[in-house]
Amino acid sequence: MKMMKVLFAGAALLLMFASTMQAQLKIGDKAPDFNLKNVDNSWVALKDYSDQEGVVLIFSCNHCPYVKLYEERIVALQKEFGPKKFPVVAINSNDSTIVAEDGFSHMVKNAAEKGFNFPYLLDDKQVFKAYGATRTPHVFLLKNEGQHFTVAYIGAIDDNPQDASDVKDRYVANAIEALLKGEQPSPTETRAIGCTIKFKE
Amino acid sequence: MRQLFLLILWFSLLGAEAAHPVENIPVADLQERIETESDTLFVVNFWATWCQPCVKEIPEFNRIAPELEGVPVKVLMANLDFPNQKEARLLPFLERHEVSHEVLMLLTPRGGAWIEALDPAWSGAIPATIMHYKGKRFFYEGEATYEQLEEWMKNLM
Repeated sequence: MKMMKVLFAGAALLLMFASTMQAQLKIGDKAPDFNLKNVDNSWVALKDYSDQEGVVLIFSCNHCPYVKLYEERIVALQKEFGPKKFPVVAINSNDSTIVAEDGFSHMVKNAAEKGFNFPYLLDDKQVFKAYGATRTPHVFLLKNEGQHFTVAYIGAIDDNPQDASDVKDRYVANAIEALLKGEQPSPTETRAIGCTIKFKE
Repeated sequence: MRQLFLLILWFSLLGAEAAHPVENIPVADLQERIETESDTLFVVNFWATWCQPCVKEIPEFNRIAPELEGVPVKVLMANLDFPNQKEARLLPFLERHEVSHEVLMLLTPRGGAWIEALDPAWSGAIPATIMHYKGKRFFYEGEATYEQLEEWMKNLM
């Protein structure tokens, strides 16, 4: 009887553990396609970037203070790496019925105010689940393999959210530079504090 | 009248100071504190003043009693605001909100390797909660209710 109880508790624990985890794409996995509405009302799909070397895909939003700390740095990434055929694409997956500030009209306003030089897409199809993105900002650096894109780096933009002037490791920039040289990025994965992605099941 | 006012002011300041002593703690020390063998079930909530769902769930943590079914329970509210904003953000927040358990300001090293070291399942999003009891652990990333917290604690016991 006691054994059963222990087994049951163990199984329950495992189940709960599993439910908190979304299967995140792994390095080298094929990047799922998407087709989402941009703030300029155009539609943007991953396959539109087939003439690029790769894509800096960033799960983002308006309201998150950690995103706000990085907005200027994301604009700078596009300025630096867009011309090198690694353009930025940002996706907001937050449900605006949970956070009103992340609604489409607010995205349009935010993109204009902050001078976004990259597409900022509304994820009304829960694309973030296909990638296993869990927080904002959450970067998936994609590499063009010819027929499709694969994931080359997952994680943070750099190692200092609070102070851009005190960054020692520019994870995304370094990963792109590595890919441009035909090398493997290192590290391929990093973690950082961020806001949860807000959605309804 | 003026003296009375000053006296009240004095006592309210005293009270405010005593209510929120916030210790700075390196993340490695926190880990040691909860993972060392003891009779206590530790519940650690990772939160920040800027995190809306974290602030929303604080009352759920406030409901946790110091003992559950005979097991001592210690709740630690591990704050992830930037340490250099402790005076400007965290302490004023604690004046305005009721946080009944011990608040710690977490000192974290550069980069995010410490996140995975605390729990491999943690992507870094907050709120997140770790429970630890006699070598067994539980982790959850996201917002929790008291009922969920109680169930998870019981499952560890």
